[in-house]
Amino acid sequence: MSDSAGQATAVSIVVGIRRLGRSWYRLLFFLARHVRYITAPMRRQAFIHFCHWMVLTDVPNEDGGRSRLPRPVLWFESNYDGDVTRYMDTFARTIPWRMRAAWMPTRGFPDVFPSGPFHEWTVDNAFEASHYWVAYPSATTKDVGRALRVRGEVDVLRRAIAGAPPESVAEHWTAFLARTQRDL
Amino acid sequence: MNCIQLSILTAVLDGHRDALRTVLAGLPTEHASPFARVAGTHNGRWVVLDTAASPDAPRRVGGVPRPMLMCSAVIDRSADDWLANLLEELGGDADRIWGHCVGWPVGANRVSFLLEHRVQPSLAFATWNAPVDEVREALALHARMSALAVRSRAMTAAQLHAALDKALAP
Amino acid sequence: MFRTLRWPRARRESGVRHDDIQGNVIRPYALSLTAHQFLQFPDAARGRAWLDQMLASVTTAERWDSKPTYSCNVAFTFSGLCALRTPATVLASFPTAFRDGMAARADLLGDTGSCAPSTWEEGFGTGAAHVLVTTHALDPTALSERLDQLRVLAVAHGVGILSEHQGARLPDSKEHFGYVDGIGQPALANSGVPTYGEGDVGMFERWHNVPAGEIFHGHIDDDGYPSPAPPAPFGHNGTFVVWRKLQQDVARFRTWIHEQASSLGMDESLLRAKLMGRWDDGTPLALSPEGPNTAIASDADRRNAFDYRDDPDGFRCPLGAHIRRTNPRASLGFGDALTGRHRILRRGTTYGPPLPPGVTVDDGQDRGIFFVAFMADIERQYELIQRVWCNDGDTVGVGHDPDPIVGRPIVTGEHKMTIPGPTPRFVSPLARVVTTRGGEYLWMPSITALRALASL
Repeated sequence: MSDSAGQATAVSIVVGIRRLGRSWYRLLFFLARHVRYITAPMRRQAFIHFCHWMVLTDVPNEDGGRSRLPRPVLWFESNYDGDVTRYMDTFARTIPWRMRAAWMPTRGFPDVFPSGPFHEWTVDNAFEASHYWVAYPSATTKDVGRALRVRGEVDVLRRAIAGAPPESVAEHWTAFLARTQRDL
Repeated sequence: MNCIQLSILTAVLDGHRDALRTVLAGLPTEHASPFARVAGTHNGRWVVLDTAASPDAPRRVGGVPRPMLMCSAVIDRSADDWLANLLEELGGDADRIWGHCVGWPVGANRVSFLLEHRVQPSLAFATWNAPVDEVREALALHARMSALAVRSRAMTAAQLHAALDKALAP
Repeated sequence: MFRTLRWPRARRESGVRHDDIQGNVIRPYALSLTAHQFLQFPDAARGRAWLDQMLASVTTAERWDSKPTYSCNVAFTFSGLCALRTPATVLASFPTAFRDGMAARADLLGDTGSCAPSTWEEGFGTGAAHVLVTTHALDPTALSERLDQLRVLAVAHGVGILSEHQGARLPDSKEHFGYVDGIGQPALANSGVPTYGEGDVGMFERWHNVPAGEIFHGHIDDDGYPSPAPPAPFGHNGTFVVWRKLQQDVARFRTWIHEQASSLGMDESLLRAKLMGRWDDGTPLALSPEGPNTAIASDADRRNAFDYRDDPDGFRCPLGAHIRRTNPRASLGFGDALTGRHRILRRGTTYGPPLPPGVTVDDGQDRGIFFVAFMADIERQYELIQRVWCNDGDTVGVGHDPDPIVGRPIVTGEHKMTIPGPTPRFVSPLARVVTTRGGEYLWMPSITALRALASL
């Protein structure tokens, strides 16, 4: 089993949802899809490659059809940098209320503080991937962000130096370095 | 359209969980992973959800009655194209994996089967919105530019011009 | 659904007991000479008997009426606690990092190649060292007399002396590369020792002292709950110690600075400051980017009063500078949320004679720092700083470039340090100028716990 591929780590958390939880998630996910403010801190932290939440109310059964679950189940998957403890700690400390909103409706959720029980709950409800692969394993989330920004600036540089004499190429290069120094 | 979440959830046949796990654990990894050969794949995983109470799988999840297999990926093309490509690259391994699942068709209609078992995300988040090839190219370009930033301090204008031509070449 | 919610920092604490905590943590000893003895117990009975004899001389954190001629503190490795036949429940309560020991975690720390445990001085990282006795002394006579006493006591109980390491503060509190060292320590809440700018900076630009539980077990930590501690009577008021002997290649450092400064067209003192984050006299670049400022450097309330929020791109203090990596303050965003749980308290000293100014050829003398740091959780605090913030640059915003002073072994040419500015400069190659010569993870118990260990 492998939950990591280079810099990236996979986590799958599957946990039952409590009463009223499904209604809560309907509201929460609707707001999150339409109000950028809700997910903005996740983008700022630049820690997660991709993640998603699924609410399961029925699952395939042994007859080839589907059976309704007695209670809905939340299936969360994430691809992120580092280890799961740092991942949960980072979000607990930076966006505790968003974390509570996301996990409160699940069974056994102990709150984000203190961190010990929260770590244990996360580990207890996490299912390891039997196989995991990433297309750019040596890159962290920030690496990809930096690379895409530099790529944009390279396009500008390329246009600026097309056909230019060597002396002005050096000037454009210096300007490029000044613009991209934070990302190189 | 550059980062689409695709999740396929299938039920595992009674008594097939351990065999399924063995098959998945035996898949080649890293550059030899089957996902590596499928264009437009940011990442991919297979997860077996244990539900039966047994010595090595004591957890029960919310009344889920049997083990489940989740195949999840983030892709930058249409789901049916991607699935068709995945099945092609898996070859016989596709039957060895999904053959442990309820209803897996032999021969035809396998893409349809998988699409019927697709679970849509309630919320999906992606930090970037670029296709796989663009991300890879950007990372390689970044490495070249970063190295050139260091080397360029000792270069003449002509040397820099030549080095840039080389670094910026596609 | 809402019943499980709890508020962070819900609990307040009245204060730490200075008479139960060992000294040199809450406030540093003003004694300039040190000696570190690593000892080995022959068996549990004699180890406890030795400890029983040592108890009366262990220095606490209580204020001195007059400065003593020496101080004494003891800390144990996990193998030392096992050798004393510490109860299994107590041993099991210690976290994995402490139980593993530093050598077993060398890969995590970047102690590979020339820093690998296989190259360490004898006795380190093998489980042979059971206890560290640290002596600080006022003068060479006091130190010598005290060490003689300790050697006699050790022999009397059959306790083996594996190694002794002596150090002394260099003039002006500098370390061998020439930087003032030891400033910028956490100010602990309820310790009676507040210093502005040495705590953590919260979301609304307000400083708050570091909760005692970030350093001492059993006290309220930055999450608002008691930090994990061994069971009573061993629990409260102990702390973990990270002890490392770091050899400094001063000649190589000076040569490298000269080469890089020449190549980059920079003043050497400016380059030195950009690497460290402070000028040689301790003036922080964040407050004085143009040059050292004695008024700031000598003012304990000013020299740490910065949080980098007004320098997001590192034009004053580079993002990859040593002090910015080891204590990012508010530069990771979200106030101190991402840094408040990773503070450590340092009480290291230099060892070895200084290399005379201007000399760039090594004289073969062993010189460096005994890095000594205190914290409640080795993995979350020291190891994260070393592994994530120093050996890599992703979290602090500089890709995978390591700390230029203490980062993992540098592959020549592969990494750089960016000095941001209107015309950025790239320091490369980086040089390995600090080599790990040995180290241990230790637990420094409270006085109560010491008595309990002695009477097991």
